[in-house]
Amino acid sequence: MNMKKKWTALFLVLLLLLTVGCGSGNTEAGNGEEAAPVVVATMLDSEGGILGKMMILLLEENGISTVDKTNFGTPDILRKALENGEVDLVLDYTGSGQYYHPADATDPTIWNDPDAGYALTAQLDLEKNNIHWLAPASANNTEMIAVTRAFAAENNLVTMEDLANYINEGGDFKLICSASFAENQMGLLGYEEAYGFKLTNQQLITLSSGNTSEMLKALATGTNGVNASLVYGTDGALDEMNLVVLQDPMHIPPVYLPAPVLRGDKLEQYPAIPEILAPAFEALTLETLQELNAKVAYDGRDAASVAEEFLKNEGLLP
Amino acid sequence: MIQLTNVYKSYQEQPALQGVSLSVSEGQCAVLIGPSGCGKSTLLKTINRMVDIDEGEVKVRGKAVQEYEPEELRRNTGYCIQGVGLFPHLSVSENIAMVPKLLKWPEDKIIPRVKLLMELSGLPLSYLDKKPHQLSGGEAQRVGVCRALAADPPILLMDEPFGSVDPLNREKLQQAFIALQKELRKTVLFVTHDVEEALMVGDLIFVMNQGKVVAEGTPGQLAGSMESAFAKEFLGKEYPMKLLKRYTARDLPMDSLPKDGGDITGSATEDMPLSLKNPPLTENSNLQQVLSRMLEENRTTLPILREDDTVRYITYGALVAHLKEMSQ
Amino acid sequence: MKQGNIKGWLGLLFMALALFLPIGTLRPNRILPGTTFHLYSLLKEPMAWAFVVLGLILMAFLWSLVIKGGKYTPALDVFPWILTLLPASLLTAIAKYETIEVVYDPEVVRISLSSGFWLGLMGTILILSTGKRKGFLFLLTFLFLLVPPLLGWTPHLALLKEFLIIKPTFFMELQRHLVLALVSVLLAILPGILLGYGCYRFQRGREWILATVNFFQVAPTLSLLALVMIPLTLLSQAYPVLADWGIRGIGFAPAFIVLFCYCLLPITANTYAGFDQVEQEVTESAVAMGMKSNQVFWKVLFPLAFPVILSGVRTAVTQNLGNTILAGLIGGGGMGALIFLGLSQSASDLVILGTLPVVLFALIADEFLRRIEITAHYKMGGTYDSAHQRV
Repeated sequence: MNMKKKWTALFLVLLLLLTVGCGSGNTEAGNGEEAAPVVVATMLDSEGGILGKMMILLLEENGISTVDKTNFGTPDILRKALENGEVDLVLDYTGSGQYYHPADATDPTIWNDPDAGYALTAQLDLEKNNIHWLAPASANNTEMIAVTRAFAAENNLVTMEDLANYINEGGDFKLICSASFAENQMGLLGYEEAYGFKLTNQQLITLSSGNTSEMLKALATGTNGVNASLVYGTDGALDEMNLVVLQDPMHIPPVYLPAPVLRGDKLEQYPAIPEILAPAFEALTLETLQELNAKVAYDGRDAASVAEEFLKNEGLLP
Repeated sequence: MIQLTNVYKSYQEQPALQGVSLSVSEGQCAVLIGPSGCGKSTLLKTINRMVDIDEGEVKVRGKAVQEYEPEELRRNTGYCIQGVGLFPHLSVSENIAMVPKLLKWPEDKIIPRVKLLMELSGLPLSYLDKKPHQLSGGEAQRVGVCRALAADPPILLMDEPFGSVDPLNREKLQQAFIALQKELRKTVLFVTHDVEEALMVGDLIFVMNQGKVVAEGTPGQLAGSMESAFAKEFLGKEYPMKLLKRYTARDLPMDSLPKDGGDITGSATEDMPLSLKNPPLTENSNLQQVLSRMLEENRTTLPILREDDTVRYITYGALVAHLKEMSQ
Repeated sequence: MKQGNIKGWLGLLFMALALFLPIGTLRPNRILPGTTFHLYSLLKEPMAWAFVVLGLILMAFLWSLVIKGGKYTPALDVFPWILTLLPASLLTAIAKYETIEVVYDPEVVRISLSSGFWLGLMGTILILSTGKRKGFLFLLTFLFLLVPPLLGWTPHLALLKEFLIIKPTFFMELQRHLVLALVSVLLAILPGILLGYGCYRFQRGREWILATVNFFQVAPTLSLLALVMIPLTLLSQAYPVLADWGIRGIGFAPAFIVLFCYCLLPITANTYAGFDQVEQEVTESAVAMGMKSNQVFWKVLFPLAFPVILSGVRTAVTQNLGNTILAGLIGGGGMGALIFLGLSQSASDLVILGTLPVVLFALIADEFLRRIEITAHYKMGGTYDSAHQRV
């Protein structure tokens, strides 16, 4: 009898979990007939969190219901989800067009021009996938190289050219970056070609993901002898971490402007979305975005409250 | 009741039964005896269709076994094996009640039946709720026999049921079985390789070798001359001596006065004193004990103390005559 | 008590190590690794003194146990209860660590727990496990650990800060995790048993079945996930109705399928072993009684195999609770979402926050099912120990 009781108890608990779990699962699948909510998804980093929450707050404020899937997954998972309709609105970067439509992006110089790169990506996606790129922010989240302030001062490094000279003179150097940056013609290889230096394998540590917080941590503490790191233009807290970005007058890497990307079918349902989101993205300058990122990644505040604060300051939220 | 005619059975290329014919009447306890591999277990299993034959006929109650539904046949046939095979997750009473439950007997019929069988096989009622792992080997086999008899089947099949029990308990089990059989008079087919067990338990013995029956007869008849040299050798030279154990003093004619023949101390009177050196034999003493005592005390007449405390006498002559009678 | 002695000594060793290893890390912000500190630097805190005193009492008791040969004193009964307070008080002490050299922004600074703390906790658990009522005492230790953060005594604790940030999604993801892990096992039980029975009945099919289910265990789960996602994507694109039901190339569906296949092996193999260990005489008797095949199965084979099958389910549950972490990579949610988010932002405390519930639930599920298993073994006329020696 005792065992029967335990069994029925276990069964009931499981049944409960099941129904509640499936219930919550169902609402995410977007099963509403009247007005299907917009599924918003972003990448697994602090910027994805902030901008994702920002978009959700704006849409909700304007009466459009959303499903929150910020920090959804890796970039390729995110893109795939957008293409097959599992998510509707994502945050992407204009320079990614080169990866999505490699056959058409034959002229690499386009990507260094912010407007041309954006235009081409938007056009290709619209034609092929009925995916719309909305108004981007002006913050160039491009790939650059950072060193510690002390290191820069010691060796008189201000630009990439100074760095090239330092390396060629045999200076001690170790760069940590992502694998995609190291192998990219428009990344490290481009830098090397343009500024005339070549890194050996010993001078390079590559990580499989492009997330820079690990790299910046390594740079700040000097782990494994690292004294330079890949950094994105909008990475926050560079100041507090005593890091400085080396200037790149030749603009080697492509321009990555963050922009909301929306599926065509959802645009038809809610044609107001572009106007709702545009003013927020306009207000996002490079410095603003750096500040916001610092608050989340560095200070450890939660993305939703940081986004809300920003929108209130801009008067986009009451 | 059970009839086999020219039965053949082979496993792949190995022949197990090569033309076996035998017949067992109702109420008889037939024993199949032989060396290992002679086919006795296989034969047993053809009765309840645990094994299907290749050729020949197996009839139960006049009907071929193939004409019965296997499950129906088996529910009406008790089956006891050496390892007993009690269900470890069920209690003793649940084990015994299994076939009646399969036959959908009402509860008020099952419970008294279980209790009756336990009493008959000498198990205390306190064992009803015990689990098999709490029983000794002998107790487990008694439960096995009860279980086989629970639904009152006409036929009982037993395959070396007492084989895994120690000799002392084996004898007890044999006695218990004999008592049970006396009470219930089932048709039993009993397989063993132990000659002594066979002659204790069986009304009819079939000696088998290499898939054939080489000798058959009552235990007494097998003491006589035999055609099969194998059977003779298998039963052994001491067979007649062993046979003595089967019969008891009760089977012999008893006299109220000692008859002539043999040395008797004192004169022959009605109140002849019983021997004081050794305790008197009773009606239940087997003839081996009787003969041993005769040899020990060097006399051909022995006093027997009956249950009602009267004394009767049996003679060596009567013993020999009885044996001769049995061997016809 | 012999085995208990080893546990007791090991626990004591761990707690001794806690005295010497770094016990906490003070981090100026979320990313930087910060500086570690040890127990002796905490000694300005009254709570830390409580820990030291408790530690000394503990040493004294254990020493008396060993020297006097385990003589019983009433205090021995009280002692484990006092011990349950130890990790919680240590936690509070650590979280109150202050440094006087550099000024940190109180909003941003955080204190992570280091190896010393974890070893101290493990040591406590080990010592508690040598006595009676260990399940209850473990629960008590865990509950006490929750008290300081809930009462706001540990505002700078990194784990707490991460939790507060992610609180809305934490419970939702936890529920998703449990549903994914448990439902996949639940649905795999019936096929697993059928496959196990197939192995038992059909000798020819046995190798094929076992090899197939073994493959799912041996193949790297991540690769399986990737393999499953491709056809699912194609399928959901070809038949949009599937997408409405939530079956798509990413998220719940591929994770569920892979987890389902993964736990087939323990269930199938254990079912087969369970049926196999039923003695031949028992099944022979059952058939000879005139039971039909399904009656033999339900009345004899299945009840006797049940405890072993349950053992297989237990294995599957604990495995799945861990494996479900990978679902976080493909948008399936669960604690994996927290773990991978933490990894990508190099916030190690978020990773720990995601891992701890998984470990906890795995331990709870294992213990719960183990107790049911013991009862089942007993009812089927065997004992847990004998079965586990055989199998």
